[in-house]
Amino acid sequence: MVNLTPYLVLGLALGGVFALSSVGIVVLFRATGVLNFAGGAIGALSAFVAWTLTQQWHWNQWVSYLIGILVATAVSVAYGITAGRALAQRPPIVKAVGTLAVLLLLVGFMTVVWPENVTRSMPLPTSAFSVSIGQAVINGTQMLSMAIPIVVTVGTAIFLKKTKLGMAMRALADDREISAMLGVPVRKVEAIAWIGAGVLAGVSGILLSNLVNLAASDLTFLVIPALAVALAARLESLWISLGVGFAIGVLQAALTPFSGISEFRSATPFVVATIAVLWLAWRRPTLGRV
Amino acid sequence: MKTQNSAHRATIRSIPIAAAAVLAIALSGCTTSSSDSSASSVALDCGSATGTPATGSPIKLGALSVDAPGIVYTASTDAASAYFDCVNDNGGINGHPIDYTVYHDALDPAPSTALATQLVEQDGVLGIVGGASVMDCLANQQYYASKGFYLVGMALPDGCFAQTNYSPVNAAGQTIIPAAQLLVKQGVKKIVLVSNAAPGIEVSGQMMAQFGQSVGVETEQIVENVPLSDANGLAVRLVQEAGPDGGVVLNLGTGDPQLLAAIEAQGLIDQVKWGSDSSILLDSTAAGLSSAWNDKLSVASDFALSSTDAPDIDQFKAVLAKYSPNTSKDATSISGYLAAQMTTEALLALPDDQLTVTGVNDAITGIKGFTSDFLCQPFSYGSGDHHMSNNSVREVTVRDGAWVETSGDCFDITAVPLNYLEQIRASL
Repeated sequence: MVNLTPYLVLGLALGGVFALSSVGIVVLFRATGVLNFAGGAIGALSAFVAWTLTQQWHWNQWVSYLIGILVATAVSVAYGITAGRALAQRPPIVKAVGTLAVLLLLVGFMTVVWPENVTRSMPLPTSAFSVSIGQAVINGTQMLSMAIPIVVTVGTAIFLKKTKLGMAMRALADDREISAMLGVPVRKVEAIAWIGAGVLAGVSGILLSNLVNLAASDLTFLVIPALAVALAARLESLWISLGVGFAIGVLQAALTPFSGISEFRSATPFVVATIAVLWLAWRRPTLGRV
Repeated sequence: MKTQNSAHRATIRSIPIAAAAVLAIALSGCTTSSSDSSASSVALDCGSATGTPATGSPIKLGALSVDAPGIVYTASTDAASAYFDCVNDNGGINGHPIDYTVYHDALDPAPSTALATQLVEQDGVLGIVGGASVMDCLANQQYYASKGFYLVGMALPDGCFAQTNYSPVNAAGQTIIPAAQLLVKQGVKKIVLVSNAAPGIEVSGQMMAQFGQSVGVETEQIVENVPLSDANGLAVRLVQEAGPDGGVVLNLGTGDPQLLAAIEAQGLIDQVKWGSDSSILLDSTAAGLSSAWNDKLSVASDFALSSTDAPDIDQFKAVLAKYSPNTSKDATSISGYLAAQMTTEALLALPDDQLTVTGVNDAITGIKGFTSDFLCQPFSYGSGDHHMSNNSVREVTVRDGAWVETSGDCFDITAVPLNYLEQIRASL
């Protein structure tokens, strides 16, 4: 009889990875209507900058993390106020594809500056602390990856509902033109949304570099299972995205000890997303009908 | 006015681009490794060692090496190229410089085949030496055979060992068996082989099962996709499957560092015995391991470590320091370097009128008894349908963030039906 307890515990930590990545996607989509494929790449850039500063130049680690996050934010804002603005009136699919260009540029840049034939790691101070739960060990970085998406979800939900800026972001996502006519400071609001997305991507990138791997392609393409999680939440609900992220993490981890299924368990986010989308379509068949 | 505003906007837009360029240059400058200053004091001894550059008609050689996301083995051809440059500066092959053409392929067979055709038919190379390509072994060998080419280079997929006209310098994934031998020596009763989910990887599991039967040890293979989506869960599973008297052989390639970090994070280092094939032997991987791993990892290495003090190894470092200082000193570059070196020795004995495709490839297949401080035993090209002349290895472990040889003694890889070592040893 397989002891599933350690896998269920580790699954929550894995779920933190999915939740952290997907919440950022949903937050930005709710605020700007842009499905940001480049979130993972921007986060990876943050991690690599922090790695260079801490491991190569031996700078203070907290200063290095801050600079990494600032670089991620700068890239995010630079895209948001240039190409993002230029594509603002285009259909959502065009806006999403625009972020693919950023993804490709960043991956190319990172693989040249930090080639993937060298193993890199960036120990985080939060990993020094750990707790044993049965046969599993959860460290501080994993606990943070579980806590941050919850905090971000709560904070963002309150922000979008209760603050003027939050309401302006929601209005912008619904209809940019009408919002502008009603006096919403469109450019300022968009810039703030991209700043928030950049900060979240930067923080996520540094945490995920420790939880997953510090490699450009690994971190960049974490956006794919994160998208699956966000899609299961219809890109609408932060709470569902959070819950689905954790649920998928636990389910995927629980499949680990079973031969025959285990090697396919990385498909879990996509299987769950497909089932969720089909179920929602079945539940709400009037949507999309002419 | 409009022109001034446009120029101003252009200037403003160009500032982030310039800043990014400066950042890239600064960061890349800090991530490249410095050359070994002691290597520059070693006198170079390449080819004829005349000290005079070769000026005759060139001898064309070539190779393919893979350069794909996450799979980069260009160090093999870089090292071979460095050795040939050294040979050319020292009289070449009886006065003929070597003109070495390298193409980089990826993981698609069609472009690899196109590059192989280009090497042979457009570039007119006489021999293919020092390559390290996933597809070259698998997709191009029949073409090369039809043109009379016999290759010597680095093996990546196990299929490279089962070609009539490819003789690998390294032992690659075949080192899972000696890694298992090291664990059996430590008294394990069960061995779990964890492998990267590449096509045909089940053959590794079958080979391990044959070895287990020969020594009375239970074996199991677990296949995982790399990059690992859940290294922590995998680490827990490996320990559960191996059991208290078990051992685990790592065969994940680029996934090894992730798994090692997870094993340590989960506090599992002392739960079972750990071994690995030679693909783990990157300096950066060792540097990322804490002292908790000291002497806890048994690796079967097909080459002596480049940190070893020995004349041939010092030469290798000196050649790379002068001709290719940014090339890493690992199994990949060692393979390319040795392939170039043994080919040069073979060609030096060739008269001018034999510098043809047939003559050069006869010389390559005639390589016999080539010795190097990197190798446990002399290398010979061999004959037959399988080649693995490098079939004796050393035990390496990690200590304080660096790979070290435990004793320097070599031991033979156990022959099992699927590694064809009985037939290979008979043909050498």
